Amino acid sequence: MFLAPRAYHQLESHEAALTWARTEGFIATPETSQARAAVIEDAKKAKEESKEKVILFNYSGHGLMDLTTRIYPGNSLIMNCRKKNCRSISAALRICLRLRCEKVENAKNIRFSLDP
Amino acid sequence: MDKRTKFTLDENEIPTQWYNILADLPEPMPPVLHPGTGKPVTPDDLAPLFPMELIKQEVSTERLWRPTTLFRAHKLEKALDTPAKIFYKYEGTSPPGSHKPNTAVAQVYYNKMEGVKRITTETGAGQWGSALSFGGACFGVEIKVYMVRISYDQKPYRRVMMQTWGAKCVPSPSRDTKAGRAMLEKDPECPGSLGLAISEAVEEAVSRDDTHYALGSVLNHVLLHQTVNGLETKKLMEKMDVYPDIIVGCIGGGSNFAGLYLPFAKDKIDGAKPDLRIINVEPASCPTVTRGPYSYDFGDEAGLTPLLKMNTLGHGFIPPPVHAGGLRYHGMAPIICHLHNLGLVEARAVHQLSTFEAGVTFARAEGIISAPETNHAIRVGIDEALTCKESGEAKTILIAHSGHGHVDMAAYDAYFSGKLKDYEYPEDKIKEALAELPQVSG
Repeated sequence: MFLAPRAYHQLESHEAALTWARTEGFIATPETSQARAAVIEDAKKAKEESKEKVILFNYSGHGLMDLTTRIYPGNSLIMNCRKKNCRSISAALRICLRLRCEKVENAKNIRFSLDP
Repeated sequence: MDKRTKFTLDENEIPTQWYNILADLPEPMPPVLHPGTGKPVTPDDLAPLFPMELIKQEVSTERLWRPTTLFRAHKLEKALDTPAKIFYKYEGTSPPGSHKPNTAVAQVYYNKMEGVKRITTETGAGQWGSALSFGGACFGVEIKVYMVRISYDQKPYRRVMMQTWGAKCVPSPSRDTKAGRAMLEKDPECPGSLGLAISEAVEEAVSRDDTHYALGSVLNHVLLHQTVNGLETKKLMEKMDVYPDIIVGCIGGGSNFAGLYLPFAKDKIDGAKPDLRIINVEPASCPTVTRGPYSYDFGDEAGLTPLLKMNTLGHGFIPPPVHAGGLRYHGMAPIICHLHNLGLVEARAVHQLSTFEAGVTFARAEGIISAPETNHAIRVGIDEALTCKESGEAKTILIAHSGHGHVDMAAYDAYFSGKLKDYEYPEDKIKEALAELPQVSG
């Protein structure tokens, strides 16, 4: 197989973005974060298998124009969670809290859209 | 002359020692005075605020985004049709997009080495706060940023950057400190000022044992950290066998520009380059060096910091809200003021509309969209290049490019939609500030 496409949910990729920013320093675009989520997944897998892999990823650009995707207070926040996937819902809340969403209890600002 | 556009050092060529101009000054600096006693401060007086290593300051180096690139502005030269050779050293490639991490990372490092768990600081437009937050993420130190309220409301992006790096950012005046509460009682709608935000950050640092304070500009050790930029530039220009005739940069607290020019200023002090011109550019709406008196003043609004001999608009200065371009501190780095007072460097004030015009010219020629602060430097760089066009002289102009403007696009938007105005700081306000300056004996 030459290519292995993978799809990630945006919350996973945003979480990967935070990990990246707090370790490597650079704030990347949400698009780049998808790639990074795959990198982190592969790096974890390599750790589990004790394999030393060289991972190259395409870092397409900075996210300084995309910071509104991280602004929660005052804006509606739409989160896509797969139905019955408690893990992503808790990840969503975790990210919300970590970003110090001022009014987490203010539920009208936070909407969960459940994929069918 | 080299036809190349980009000049970069190898990582192993990054200067490993900063340049300390204090050793080379023709006259020593006026001492820093204790705010209570009026006597020169000792290292012990500063210990509650800063780690001893920063007070003593030796060496360090940082490699993540350094060295940065020196560009030859071929396309801008062509657009201006000038015989001048224009270079700019670009600091926008760091994670926060400016020169600020040069000192932020160093300061957090030295605090971490001394076991400090938390650092408080202030920020105006958010460049320094985001840089220190990035530094905190580098070493796992908790950062709390007091952000001038008007910027907190108008510039949410910097705040989100700080959050992304794990820092806590509150608007100043805040209810977390005495200084903040006092101001809110006086004026609940207070837009805040850098001086007030410093008071809040300092107050919290001195009232908690696990917390230190960090300042993003002005002080000698901050300028020292920034000299890595000037030393890199000097090395690069030596390799190319060119030397600047004119160096221009913007000054708010002064650290970015001084960091670039102090290693060159040494050549002027030594007499090796007597004709070198160094032009400090500031906004006409905050004309600290061009119009403020050279006098002792506090670094903050509440009068908690040591007294520094510097040009000042008075520690009660609140910048006019029409001003969009940063660089709005009431004082200035004492090293810059001292050099200015000795006649070794010049200062010039420019209006904001002309700086945005220069920034747009620069972006359309060179491609880089610059921070509004940096546009002040570009304005005077272009003016000097146009003077060369008239005189036919092929001077070498070096511009300190302190960062990109990607987080400041709202200011560009205001400029394009005609909402920005020029503002000349009124003379009577300077007189008022003079009356409030602290009295120093001797």
